[in-house]
Amino acid sequence: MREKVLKVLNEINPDIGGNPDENLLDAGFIDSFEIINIVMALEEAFNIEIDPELIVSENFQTVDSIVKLLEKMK
Amino acid sequence: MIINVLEYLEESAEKYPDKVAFEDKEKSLTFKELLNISKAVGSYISTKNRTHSPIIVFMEKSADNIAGFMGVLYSGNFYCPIDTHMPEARIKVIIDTLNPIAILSDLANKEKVEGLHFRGEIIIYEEIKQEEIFDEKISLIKKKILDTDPAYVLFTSGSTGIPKGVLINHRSIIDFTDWMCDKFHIESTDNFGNQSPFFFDLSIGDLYCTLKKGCTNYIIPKELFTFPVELLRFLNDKKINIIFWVPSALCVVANLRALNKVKLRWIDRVLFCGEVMPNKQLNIWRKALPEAMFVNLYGPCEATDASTYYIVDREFEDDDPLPIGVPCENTDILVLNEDNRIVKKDEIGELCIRGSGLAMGYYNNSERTEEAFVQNPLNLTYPEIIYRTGDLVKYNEYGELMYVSRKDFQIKHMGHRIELGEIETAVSSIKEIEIGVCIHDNVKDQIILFLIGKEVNDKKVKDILRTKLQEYMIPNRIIHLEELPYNANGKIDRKKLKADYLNMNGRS
Repeated sequence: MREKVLKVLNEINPDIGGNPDENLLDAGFIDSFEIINIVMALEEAFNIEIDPELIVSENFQTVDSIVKLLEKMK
Repeated sequence: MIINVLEYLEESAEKYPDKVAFEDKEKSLTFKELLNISKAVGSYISTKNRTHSPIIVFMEKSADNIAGFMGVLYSGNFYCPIDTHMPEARIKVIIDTLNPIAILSDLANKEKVEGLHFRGEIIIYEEIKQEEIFDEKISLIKKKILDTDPAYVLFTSGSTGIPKGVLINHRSIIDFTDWMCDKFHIESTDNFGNQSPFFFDLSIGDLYCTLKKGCTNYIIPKELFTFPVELLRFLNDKKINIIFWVPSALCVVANLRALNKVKLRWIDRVLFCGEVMPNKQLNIWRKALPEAMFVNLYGPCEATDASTYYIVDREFEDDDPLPIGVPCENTDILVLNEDNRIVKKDEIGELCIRGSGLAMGYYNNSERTEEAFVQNPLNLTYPEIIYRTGDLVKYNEYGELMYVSRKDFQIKHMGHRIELGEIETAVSSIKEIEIGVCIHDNVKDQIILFLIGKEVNDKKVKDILRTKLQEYMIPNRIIHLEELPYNANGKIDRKKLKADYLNMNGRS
């Protein structure tokens, strides 16, 4: 799961995930409008629809928080 | 008779002294507070005894930022807002072009500004905002301001790697603001929700309408645009009823289905400008807000915020293009073909603008000014300047203007105007690289950089570019090639490069 998430994220930005604890928001990887590319790529790869209520900062802090979010949705 | 934009502020401070003018995450300023701080800042700067000179305003986006702008105007000078996240190298290029008499910074950015080794004075906003107001002196200065004097200068991407400073006078702002307030019935009861950065021309509309009409302007925290449900709740909480955003911001909200979750209670006008608004996302907004007015505006910053507008008045399919409409009042649009004649029927031509909204030119750059601000080729009898936008357009069957494409290598990416040449110039400074060519994937709105030369890792390329370019100019993808396609004239065949790329990605 984590690997697949990372692969999706890396297609958008190859620099993501270099440091697993890195805060994606603080590091500028998810900068305002870029969220849209990330959410849509994840939805396509995992064939899911992420509830807009779940698109909040705590679910996108790190690669792991994205993994957790997706696991919850399964 | 209104001659300078400070009169907007003074009139609103007289009528609505205790009403909030601008509110950011941390604080708000009433019209009276805004007026007083602006006068104090202006009084301090006036001790330099210089007028008609540029002053850089290097402050976090905030209510205080507006007081900084107005303070510069009270001193009889004009302001240049600079993005506080701009790389140092680019700021230095701008300083070289501008040669400002001072930099007005806030405490938060003091260290950064000091690192620029600027030779003029660095004024710290927090240290002077309580200074004594020299009412007599600044009112004398104000009396001498003509509407043909500059009010601000905004820097935009330049193809040779040198940003161009678009110089706008008071008249142009007044011309646009009066039109916008009339056309969209702006009243003191309106609450704006500001999205656009202040170093971006799009912000002129909601900033100056707020000052003129005595509205309240909520400066929306940037991070909310990443999480649209929270953003929409913010709009409801603050009773924001009018927004003037870049289409990318509206698209995030639509694509992440936030409008299904939160019903917007107050919004009655949705204006957008700065790039193409896709109907697919606009239709989602229209469905959510069937009573609201939607307006597509178009215009380069060389003509003050917007030059044409289209009030959305009929249904569109998701893949229909949206018209850019008709000229704003006191603005004329000439669509000229390659022979400099007005186009016939649906012939494609370059959109050229005539009117009071035109910039005075590019600051300290007569060469670029003369290229773009030219004598109206249809008028051979007296001096009359038009601005050539480089945008290709045509008329549709309703007589509305339709955007077609750019004439050159300029692109719109996330609402920002970028010359691909500026990125390529920055790339060429990396020694391992022989040639770097950029294309814009307009389907995904991504900048793709193709590289020829020794293998350099992408992170290193991006890191070097980040020291020279704005974050939004950094390529989204880097592709290493063995060779580039060339056309018959021996030039790099950018069209083929782009077509191959899109094909490769299954989207021709």
